[in-house]
Amino acid sequence: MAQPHHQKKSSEQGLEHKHVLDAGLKLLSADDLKPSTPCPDSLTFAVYVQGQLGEDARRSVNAHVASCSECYREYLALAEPEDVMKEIDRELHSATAAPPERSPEAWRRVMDRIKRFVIDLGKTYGTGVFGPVLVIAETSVAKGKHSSLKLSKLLETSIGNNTYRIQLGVRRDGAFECEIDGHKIKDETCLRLAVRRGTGEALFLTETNVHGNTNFVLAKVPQDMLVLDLHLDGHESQIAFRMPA
Amino acid sequence: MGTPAPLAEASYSSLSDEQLIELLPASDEEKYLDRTTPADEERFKKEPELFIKPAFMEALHELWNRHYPLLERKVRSKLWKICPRQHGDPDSFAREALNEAYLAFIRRIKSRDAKGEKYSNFSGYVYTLFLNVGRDKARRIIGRPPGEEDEEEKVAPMPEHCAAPPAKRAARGKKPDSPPRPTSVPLDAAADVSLDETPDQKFSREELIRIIKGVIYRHSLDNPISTQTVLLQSQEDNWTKVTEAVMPTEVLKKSLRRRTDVVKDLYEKDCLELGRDLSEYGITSEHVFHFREAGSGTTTPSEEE
Repeated sequence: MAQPHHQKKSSEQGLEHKHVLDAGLKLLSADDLKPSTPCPDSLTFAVYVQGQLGEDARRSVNAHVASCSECYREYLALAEPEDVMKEIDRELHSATAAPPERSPEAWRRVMDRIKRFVIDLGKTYGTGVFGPVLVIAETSVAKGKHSSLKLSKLLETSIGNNTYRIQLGVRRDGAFECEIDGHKIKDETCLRLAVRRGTGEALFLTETNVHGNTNFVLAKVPQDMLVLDLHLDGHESQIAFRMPA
Repeated sequence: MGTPAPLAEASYSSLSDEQLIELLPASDEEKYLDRTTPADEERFKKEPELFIKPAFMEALHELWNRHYPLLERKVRSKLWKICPRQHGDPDSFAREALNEAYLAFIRRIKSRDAKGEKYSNFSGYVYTLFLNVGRDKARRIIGRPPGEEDEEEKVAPMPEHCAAPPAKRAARGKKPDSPPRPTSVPLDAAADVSLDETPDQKFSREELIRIIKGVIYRHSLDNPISTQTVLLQSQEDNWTKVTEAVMPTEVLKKSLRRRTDVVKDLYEKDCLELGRDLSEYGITSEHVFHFREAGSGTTTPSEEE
């Protein structure tokens, strides 16, 4: 499928930006890359790793940690791993609150990983593990005459400490319906999600509530491969699927 | 305030944390016994805990015994992880650090926190003290006490040129990270560059480096991990090394490949953002490449001709 013009342009700009940085970094000497401030004192640092430092002080320590390998190592050792992952998730998605966006290379790596597990909503697989998900149940029009859904699959997947049950369905009018239920929620955090084309282009973006619940209907979705892109505090999972022909 | 008479041991255990903390002194003068001889004074400097008044010591011990077991479980693995290679034995490092934490606890804890306010979370306060003591100990061992600049590492503070381009500052709606300064640089690089740098060109090159450092610094204020990733990868050029440094298995219990994917995501996201920030200064890859070639002495095609 041809890429939309704006996306192509943005990708070219991205490549140019990357070249600028690559070349710029090579101009810097080892001294240029050293931290410009002394290591923070241990009390400040102990408060920092617990995420309790005031904003100005936190940003100042951030700048130091970014260029000091010793402090960075100590940060990883002293902070809770979940907090480090939350920080990573925040940094990854800070420019775009929701949904998470990736570079073309990053998206290609995701696709390489999931392309073997595309769930065709028109086919029957039987219950069991299928790539990143567990197929819990499948229904077709014959079994659910009174349902608004013509076809559906109930899947289960774990992201971080949470487990979600996700129903992907095709309504009688051909619309795509998705219902997500937080099945086992240990971290009460919103799950951010996007429905994407195989190219990575986002068709729909939303998030669950802190209990992991949401549902949505997309009236028109293409019949090529789609990806449900799920993110929770640095953890992620993708479910590839296809609408029935 | 006078010194409370020690209560019976059973009495301390029946008090709540808040009640015990209220029994503690507000100041050092109140906390320690008077030193009557020079020898006492000398000893006090080395081992002040020996001079804590008995009633306070009892209350401190009760608090320590209540909080230590839980905090010890939480902090031991962290101490283990920050044990410097020079020490060699993480178990004994953690044990020694916990002993030091005990001394710090009985020496420092008073009825109010360091700001003179009531403890909002006493357990959290003590946990912070544990981390503080552990890191101080690790730093002493490697000979790099925090807060002091290593002579080798001493570098110039970030220049004022680090300020973001005015348009961007306005867009972010944040206060500037340093005073605004003119941000334009001579960008006619092709005209500037020769194999022997002229004073003008040298200035331009230094200016360019200052801008790049400034952009990285400004970005790092809100993106410490991804900036660390970009800087490491630019030095190491080795994804395995960078992944193990930026995201070891202790942080994310996934395969090296999955962790590398996340690290690459961080790297690429930062490359785009930092590159875009540099572009806002009008810096292009062509511009930077010209300086690189000049700096490394690479002959340009026009000169070969």
